[in-house]
Amino acid sequence: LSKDSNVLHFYFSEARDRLKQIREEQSRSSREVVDIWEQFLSYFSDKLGNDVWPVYEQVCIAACDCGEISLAHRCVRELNRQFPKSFRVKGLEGMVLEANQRYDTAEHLYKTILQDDPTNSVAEKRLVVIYKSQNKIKEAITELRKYLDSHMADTDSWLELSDLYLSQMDYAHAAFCLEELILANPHYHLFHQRYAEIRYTQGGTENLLEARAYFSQAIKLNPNNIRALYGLFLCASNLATKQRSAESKNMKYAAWAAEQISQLYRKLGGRGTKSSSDSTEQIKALGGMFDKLQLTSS
Amino acid sequence: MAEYNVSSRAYCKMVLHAAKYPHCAVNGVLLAEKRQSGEMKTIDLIDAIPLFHLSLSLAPMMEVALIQIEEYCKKADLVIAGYYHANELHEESSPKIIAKRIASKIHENSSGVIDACLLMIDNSRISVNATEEFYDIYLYNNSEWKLKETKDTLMEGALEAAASLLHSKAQSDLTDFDNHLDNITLDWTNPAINEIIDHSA
Repeated sequence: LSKDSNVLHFYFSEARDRLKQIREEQSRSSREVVDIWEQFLSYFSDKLGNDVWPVYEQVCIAACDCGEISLAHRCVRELNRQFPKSFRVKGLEGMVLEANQRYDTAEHLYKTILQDDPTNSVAEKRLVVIYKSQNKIKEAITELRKYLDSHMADTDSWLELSDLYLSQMDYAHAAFCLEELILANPHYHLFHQRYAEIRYTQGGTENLLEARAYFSQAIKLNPNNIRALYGLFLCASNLATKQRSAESKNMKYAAWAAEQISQLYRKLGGRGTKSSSDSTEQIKALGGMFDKLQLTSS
Repeated sequence: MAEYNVSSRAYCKMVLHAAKYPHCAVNGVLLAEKRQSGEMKTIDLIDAIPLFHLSLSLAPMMEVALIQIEEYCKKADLVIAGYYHANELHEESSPKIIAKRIASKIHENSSGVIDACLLMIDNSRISVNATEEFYDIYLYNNSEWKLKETKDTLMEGALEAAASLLHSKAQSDLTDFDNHLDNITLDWTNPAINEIIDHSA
């Protein structure tokens, strides 16, 4: 009997710690969260002590994500009992309404929250999502821009706005969002890389030159950023044809990027294989790609 | 106009890609055997290469992926014969401008070799208990993508194989090109999943 209770205790702490890890990493592992709760942790909720409240919140959101509406309702009930009149719990009620596609009721609820608490970020952002869920992208963009006017440091929201613009193929505005992010986070390689990708997509020599500069900066900040290395290779290869005056300089950049990429593949073993012959295949495939894009100097 | 068939392997990998990222738009390419290129009446889409779930509208990584896949195809006697796309929203099952633009580019790249199709995934038709295919096929005609009859295009055993893979949550093991770029030891040809699908036949 004591051996069984030891085993159970082991599984309990694993489950509790896994949920905590997901909360801290903010990863969207909703199915896993729901499964851990429903299949195991819910039977030992009293052992969680005060940790049970963030868990209920976490399970509620995950349940909404998975369409498990009755589970989400149960979580909200428990939270309402413990924290009546809480805006935070009201926000969760809104998410459950959204999961049920009752968008008008949810919109009304969030606007009511904002009347009493005009700076409630959750309610403002949920309004953006409600518009997005109904494919009202222009309204979503307007609402999100309004929100960002007073919450300029919200990185996730700038990224979301950028994605909304990209979905409308509005590259100029998407680029602007990344510029804000780079200003606030000049040492974060991913923002430089994403900005470069947008500029590359816009095309033309000016944009290619900008893209090349920002891919280079991303590589400087993180030499293992393979997207940036590929990006630099593409920019340099394209510019080698477009700008005859800088052809040899760009060929050098392209060759350098190609070498860095090949080295990374050689070092890390290529495309998911442990055998060196497969890694040679990968390098050959890359070589083919590099040959294709490189132009003969005329 | 060619008829298209979708193999178990292509079907399963598409559904796993969509199931792995239910909150994202996803896309990928479909491959056919090279010997079916040219003026063929039937094109069998025998494999799917999952591409992206992040920033589908950005060009650079798409270009890298297509070039690498073309190299892979050359060695395996395959050709890119189609493009698949699932929209982010559950209710949106028709191709939007991004899907059409990418599909048109792929169609242009394949012109003279094979008539590449656009396969739109209808999110509402994805289910473990599905009894019919979850996609619609579009063909390029007069600079437009037009819906084609999709009945009886799915090959034998595909629905069962897909259901079994979804049950065992195999989607977490699927590698798309975005995953590969995050970790280059991951293989976007997905040999392990290919084997599971082939064995379930």
